[in-house]
Amino acid sequence: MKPELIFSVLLLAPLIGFLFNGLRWKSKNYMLAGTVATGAAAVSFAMSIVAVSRLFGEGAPTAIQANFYTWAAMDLLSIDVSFVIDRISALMVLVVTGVGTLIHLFSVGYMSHDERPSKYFAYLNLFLFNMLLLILGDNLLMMFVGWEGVGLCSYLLIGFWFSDKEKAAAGMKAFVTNRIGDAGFLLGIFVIFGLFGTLNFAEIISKLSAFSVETGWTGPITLACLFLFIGATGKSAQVPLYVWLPDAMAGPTPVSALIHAATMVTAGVYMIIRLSPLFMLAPNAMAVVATIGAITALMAAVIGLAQNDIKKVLAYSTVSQLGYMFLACGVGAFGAAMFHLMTHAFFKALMFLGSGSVIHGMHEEQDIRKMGGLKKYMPITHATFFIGWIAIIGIPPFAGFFSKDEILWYAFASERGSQWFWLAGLIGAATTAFYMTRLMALTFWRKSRFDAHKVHPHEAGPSMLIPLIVLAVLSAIGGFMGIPHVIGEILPGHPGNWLEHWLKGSIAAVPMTAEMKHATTMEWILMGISVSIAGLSAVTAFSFYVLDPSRPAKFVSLFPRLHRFVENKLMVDEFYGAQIIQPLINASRALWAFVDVNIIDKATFVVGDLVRGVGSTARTLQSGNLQQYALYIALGAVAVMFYVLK
Amino acid sequence: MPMNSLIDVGLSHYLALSAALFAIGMLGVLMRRNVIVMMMSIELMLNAVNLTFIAFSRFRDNMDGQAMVFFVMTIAAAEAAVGLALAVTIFKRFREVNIRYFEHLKG
Amino acid sequence: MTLTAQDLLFYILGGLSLASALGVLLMTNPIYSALCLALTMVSLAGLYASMQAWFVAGVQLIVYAGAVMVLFVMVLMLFDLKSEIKAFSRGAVAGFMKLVAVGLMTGAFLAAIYNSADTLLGTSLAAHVDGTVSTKALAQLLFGKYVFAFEAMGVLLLIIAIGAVALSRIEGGTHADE
Repeated sequence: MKPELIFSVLLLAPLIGFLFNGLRWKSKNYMLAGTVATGAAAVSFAMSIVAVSRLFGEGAPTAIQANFYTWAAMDLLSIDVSFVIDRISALMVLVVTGVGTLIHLFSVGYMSHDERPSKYFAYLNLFLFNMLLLILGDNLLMMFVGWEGVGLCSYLLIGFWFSDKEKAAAGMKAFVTNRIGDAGFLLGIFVIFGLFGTLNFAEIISKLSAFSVETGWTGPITLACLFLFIGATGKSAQVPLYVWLPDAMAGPTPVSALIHAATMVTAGVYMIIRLSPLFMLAPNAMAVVATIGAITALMAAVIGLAQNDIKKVLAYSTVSQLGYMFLACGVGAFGAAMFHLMTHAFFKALMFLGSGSVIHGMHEEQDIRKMGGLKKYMPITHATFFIGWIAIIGIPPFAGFFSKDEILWYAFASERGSQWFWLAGLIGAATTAFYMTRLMALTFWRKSRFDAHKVHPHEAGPSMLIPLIVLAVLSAIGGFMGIPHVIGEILPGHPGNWLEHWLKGSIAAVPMTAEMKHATTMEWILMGISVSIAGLSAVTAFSFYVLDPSRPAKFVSLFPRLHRFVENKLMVDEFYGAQIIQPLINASRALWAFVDVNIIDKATFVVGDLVRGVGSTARTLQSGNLQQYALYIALGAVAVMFYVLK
Repeated sequence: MPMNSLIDVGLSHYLALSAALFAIGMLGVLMRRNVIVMMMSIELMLNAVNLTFIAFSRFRDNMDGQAMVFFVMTIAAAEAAVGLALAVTIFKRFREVNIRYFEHLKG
Repeated sequence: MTLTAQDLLFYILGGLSLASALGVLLMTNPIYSALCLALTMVSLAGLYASMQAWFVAGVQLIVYAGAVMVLFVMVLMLFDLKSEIKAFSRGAVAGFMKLVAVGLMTGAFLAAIYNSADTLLGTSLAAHVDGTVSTKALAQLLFGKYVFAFEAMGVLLLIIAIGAVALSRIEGGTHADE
């Protein structure tokens, strides 16, 4: 197959699915809509496999690409609609289409009772198309098109049940918050174009050799990186723009899994990985990235401790895990960020789908205080969720352990890292272990706290269980693609770090001193600390919520105000509301009441009155009196004569 | 103005006469209210122009001026025909041919 | 310098035409205006003849003093208009402006003529020209150099004839076919 054909099928399959379902959006045949949409996603996935398989083997190209046409050709700027699958986007495209297909499949069961399944699947396919544009586009503008497209789909799907005002508002919040980030992203694109004269990733990176590492804060590369990072904080829900993601849980649960956990929110990380050599030239920008990542990882984890909505817990967990990815990017461990992106996609999609299964089985109940004991009713959901749980808290050999530990190690060992980053990550990991154990305990274990006569929890159908099982398997074994060297050496056959090898050359290498590269003892020690701390934390949570359920209340009563503060999400929304939104509203109102009414309106009225006055004066000239007209002619003739004769 | 130039009639005299006739016709168009009299005044103006044509033709020894007079006459006749038809129409409606009634033509 | 017959003719006919033109302007009865106009036409025809434009003088008499004036008088008779009480437009300001405009225009004309009197002096009046010769020259001009304009005039007259008929058929008022 020619690359053009591969890319066409890959991209057009979801688009055709979107058109098919979009054109018959009133249909309530969820089976047909779901089959078409899932089929489209599966075709995309198959094509991704075909495309990525080209990159394997002896003498295989490092990238396959196809240039379809020139979108815009201007004097200095020429934008091609061209796509590329290289070693970075290969991983991403597999995750997106693979996980995407599973979630489409899950949706068929989940949305079976919905009023508008065709619309839902149309949006889902459109999202997939835009996400593929974002991933595969070989220049920043194509990426931006996809970036905006996924933002739109996210908005549409968060507010999918728009008749509920709160959910519609959540969609709006996501969209508006993302706009702020997108403005930064656009500014970054402008700076990059000004600097390099091109937006093509490969060309930008090839031109970087002419630049040296910037030390200050105002250098062009630093500025570009900071602007791009603002874009990333919006899309990938980092401090200070993360507030939209927890609210985005208003959407259907498979959407939360696909868009707000596995794929779209990782777009910012992906973008930074793409431009890793650029970021390496701006250490200060990277320090900002790492700091924001660490703060986000810690803060979101703390908020997650006291949430009672099953999806909100997972949402804060997602924000926190994204913080880890940015922390990795910030210390230069782009490979680790990519690794965590993938494993996170597996286990977080798994947990979201698991929560979807729970919510479905509990008749739309989301409050974990009203659950409990679901293990008995939903054994498969419980089993898969269990795997997700041990994956995320970092118990070896499950996926999360490898990726999170790699990040922690580089946060410590990289030249750009520090022990503080490591410590923040460690505390974040411990907190994660605690709230995830709490979630498990309150949802699945111990006695049921719901009225068994009214609610009859039941296991979901096969279309929902198959994705759960597949993702559980991936969460269990996904980590093996990035086995650290220290562990690989003691295992039989000495498996190397496949992922690191795969990405070598495509992304910037981790800056490390030779001393640290061989500090294997240190790595072992840190690994031991993090695993034991996480394990300890999980055991504590287990003792709190399973062994002695009265203990959390007692513990909380020691710090009632602190608990309320955490439960209210650290008052961030209130802070934004009081410090940013309310002043903006007040200022706008003042502008409206004074500037608009007194100056702008008045000015237009004056102009209008002026024109009307002139008109009403001038219309008397046109009286219909022919002799008056004749007089005008005579006067005109006189004027002309005097002009000619002087 | 010397007596000489008054006696020795030349092109200037014909042009001055023409200007006077034109002015009278113009006044008629501007001042009279009767549509038909207005059209007569227009004829007067056209005749004043014709007089200049003939005078130039004579004093410049060029026959083109006389040819022009033919065309002017044709136009004048045509204009009179249409104008009178309009006047008849107005008269049928208002039993008068005052120019004010043409104001009804304004949209 | 003596007053030649030609000059005398100019003053007599010119004065007559001016006087009758003023009559057109000032007579309140439209019939009298029409008759004054006819007199103007005739005296102008005389002036044309004195300038040896024999054919044009004849056409002036037949077409203007004859046909066109008959048309006017016929229409006036048809309407049976009497002497008008309000012959002139109202409005002191507008009337003043009209007088000023015409006065300025005439003044400009006369000043221009006076200033350019020297350049306007052409060949003095030549000897008597045979009427047949000048008429023949005129005919050659009309059917030679100006033949297309001449034919266009014919078409124009046809259109005017049809238009006049169409206009007269309308049942009064300013709206066609109520």
